[in-house]
Amino acid sequence: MIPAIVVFIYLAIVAVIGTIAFRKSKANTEDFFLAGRTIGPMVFFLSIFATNMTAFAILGSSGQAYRQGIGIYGLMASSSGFVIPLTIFFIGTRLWALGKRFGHQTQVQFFRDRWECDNIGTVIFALSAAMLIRI
Amino acid sequence: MKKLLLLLMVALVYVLHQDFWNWRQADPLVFGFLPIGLAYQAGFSILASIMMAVLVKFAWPGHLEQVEDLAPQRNHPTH
Repeated sequence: MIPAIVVFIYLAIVAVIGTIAFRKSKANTEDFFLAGRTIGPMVFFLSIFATNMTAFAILGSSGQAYRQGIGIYGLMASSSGFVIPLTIFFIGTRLWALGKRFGHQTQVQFFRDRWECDNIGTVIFALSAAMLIRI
Repeated sequence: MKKLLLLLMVALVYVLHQDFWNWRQADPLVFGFLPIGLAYQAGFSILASIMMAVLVKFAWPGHLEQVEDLAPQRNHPTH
């Protein structure tokens, strides 16, 4: 019974947050997909954290640490703490500015504009879709 | 000069990530429970966050926030 109560409380909180967000949002794709290109540092941090907390990070790294020892933390967690913020700092900020200036909402739109070539966008779209397939 | 120092800082932090000393080493235990190799990387994580705070403080590309929005004049495909 207690697990069910916890789940319903969680769902209620999500519903409240969703309702508030819906009332504050604008009816356009930029606001829906990119949060209007403006999110605060805490939401940004939580978003990055959730993006990286994958099955690989939680289950895969634990299993690998069991096999190979504590060094796996350095291999995965602390290296992510170094590389991801640097990538956002050097590349993400520039992509954000270009996206805002030219109205890009996806990587494909950026690549198409950058090389003024529709075909490269199609290739990258196909590659992005292919990378979602588990091998 | 400031850029060079900041780049050197990033390079130094990168080198420090290569744990030549305690990789896979559990002993001694820091505070009696934390393996030294893990404590090193935990310390490195804190160092990396300090590095980013310094970068944001002294090298934040603020000019990028002043971009002119040209989007309404352009027509983009949706994917």
